[in-house]
Amino acid sequence: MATAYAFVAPAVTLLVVLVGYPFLLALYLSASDAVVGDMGRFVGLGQFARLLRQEIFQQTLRNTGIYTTTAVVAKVVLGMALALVLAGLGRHRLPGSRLIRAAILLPWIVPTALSTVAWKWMFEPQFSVINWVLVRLGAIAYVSDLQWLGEAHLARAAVIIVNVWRGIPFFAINLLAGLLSIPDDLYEAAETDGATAFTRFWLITVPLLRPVLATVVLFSLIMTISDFNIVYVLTRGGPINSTHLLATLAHQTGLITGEIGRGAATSLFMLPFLMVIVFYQMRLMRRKWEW
Amino acid sequence: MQMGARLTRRQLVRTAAAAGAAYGLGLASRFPQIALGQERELSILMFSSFVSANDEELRRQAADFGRRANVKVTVDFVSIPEMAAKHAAEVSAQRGHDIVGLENLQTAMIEPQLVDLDDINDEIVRRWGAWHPVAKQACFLNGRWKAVPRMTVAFHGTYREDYFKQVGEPHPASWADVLRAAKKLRGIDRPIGFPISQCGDANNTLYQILWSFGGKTATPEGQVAIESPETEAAIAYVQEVFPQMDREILAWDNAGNNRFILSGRGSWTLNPSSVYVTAKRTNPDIAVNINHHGALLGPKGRFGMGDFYSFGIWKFARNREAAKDFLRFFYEEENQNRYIETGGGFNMPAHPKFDRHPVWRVDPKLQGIIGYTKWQRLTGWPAPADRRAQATYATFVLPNMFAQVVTGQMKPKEAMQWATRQLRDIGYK
Repeated sequence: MATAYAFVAPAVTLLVVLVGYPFLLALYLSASDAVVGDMGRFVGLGQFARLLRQEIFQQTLRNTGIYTTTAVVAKVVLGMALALVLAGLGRHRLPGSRLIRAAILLPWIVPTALSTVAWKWMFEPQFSVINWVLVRLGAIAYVSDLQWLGEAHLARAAVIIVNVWRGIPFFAINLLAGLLSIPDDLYEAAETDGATAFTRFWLITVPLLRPVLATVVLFSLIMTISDFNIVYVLTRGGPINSTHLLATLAHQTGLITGEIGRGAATSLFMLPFLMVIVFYQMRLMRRKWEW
Repeated sequence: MQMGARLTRRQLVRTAAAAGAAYGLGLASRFPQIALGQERELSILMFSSFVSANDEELRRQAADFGRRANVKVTVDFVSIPEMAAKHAAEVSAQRGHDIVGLENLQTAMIEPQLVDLDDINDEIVRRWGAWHPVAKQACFLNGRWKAVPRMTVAFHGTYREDYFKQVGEPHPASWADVLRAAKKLRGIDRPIGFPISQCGDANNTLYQILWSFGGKTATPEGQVAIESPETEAAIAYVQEVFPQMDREILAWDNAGNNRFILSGRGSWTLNPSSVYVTAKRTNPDIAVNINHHGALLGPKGRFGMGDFYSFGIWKFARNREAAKDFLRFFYEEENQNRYIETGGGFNMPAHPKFDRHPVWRVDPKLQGIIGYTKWQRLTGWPAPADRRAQATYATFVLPNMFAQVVTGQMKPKEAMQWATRQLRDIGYK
């Protein structure tokens, strides 16, 4: 018995030191008025109440909702489309299909900060390649007509586009794995019965992909809701705070302004919501799926 | 162990244990030297400068000091955005460097963690006279010098002399001059530009305009004061300038104005001389036409802004006395002169004594900015240098107030009311 404890001790110690302690400290800080250099005093839920009264926080909550919902829905749709294309390529054993699958992962593999800098250049009004193409296509008159990072709605679109671009491979590869695990004879039987492509997709593919889809969506929700790099590099929360997410606002409040307590409260605000997601995620992982 | 022999689990564990023990013994043999402190150590955490020669000079002076004082000195440089996190980490651990770099209001934010440096500042003032006002605003807090001023990166004017001549406009001296020139320069498609966006440069520009028109975010007592006829006048000015600029200024980051001038399109902006320094290196044709000017005069006075830097010493520093001695050494006249020399005119002095340094006379393009620091004020002025002023800067209250008016989202009065709410959220009364 002692040996068993000895074997798990390193893992437990690591968890306590690297996860447990920082988490409990963050919980304490969010319930305090701590600033850099002063652990402050316990204020209960005071920081959360103050946050809810702040216009910038209210706007950040709305931004986070729009960002997460739009990005995750777009990633599901586009990731599914890409997975279907990849599955088709593999089924017909087209040359280069493995290479294409590997290449598709690139946006997900490249460090976010690095790829976002490249996007920043593409959105930069003076030298924007996107706007340059749009001018050539006659969609806009001048390169400066579309201020991607200078107008609130376009800036929101820009950060969502980058998040979707980066997240599609994660969805596509996971959904592809799910697609490949669906037995071919189900499709053959449906085809024999005269089912259309859409019916086969809706009545076979979607139900059988549900476990993979549910897990991927939940993971993506957590990752998208806590996103930081894309907004930090592209807009720093601007223009006029229209792209701030909870993580970027927490960084601004906790580190730049030094109000660690309020910064911790900002970043932990979504904790109850994330815990619900994790609860469902755990249930899904334990559940036995049969068909 | 024979080559190619299969390694059993037991052998692996034994080998790993032996290797661990050997490594541990190796470390242990090194520890006594460190623990006994046979050699004094001093560590400095500093911002990396745009001018790398300046950093090298600091390193050289640190090494020179180390040899003279028999102290092992290390200087670590981090980028400006990284410093706040470094401060938080070192304060939290109560360990780290001895001397630490401070930017703008960082001194006020970590004031309780810094030792008093009245003695060093008094020595400097006795020797050379008073610092520039901004140095005192940044470093003299609650009746104590909590930091030693170092230098400032000033946001003076950078303009294209050839374009200004082309439209018959002289060296700008006032905000009115800039507006008049801007209208003519728009006519030849060589617009002026300054950011009205969520970046530090926008703060550094718009504070100057606000102050020059008599506006302020809060009073010295901490009362919100942004709603005023003076602020309205500043907003009206920016509204008139905005159509003369490219709309992209709403999306600029701190490098936006640099790119703008270096592209050859831009005719005027407020920025440190980094644009000129880069142009000299990469585009001499542009550099030869760039010139600089100092703080601009507005209806209510002449004000400047920039990023102000100083040195602090942690209360938890292991070697406070050596740290103080190094700062004294750094402020020996010869060392200061060399430090300023290697700054190439980019880093402006915190003390008026060095305004007359030859580095600003060698290149005629830099003469327009001599003495800029005396016009400079600290973020939030005339409100106290504190966390609220830092939050105002960090949450871009001022740029966002102007942005909402020029983009037509709010009327000037609404924008001022919006700013008032933001300032109250931050903690002003």
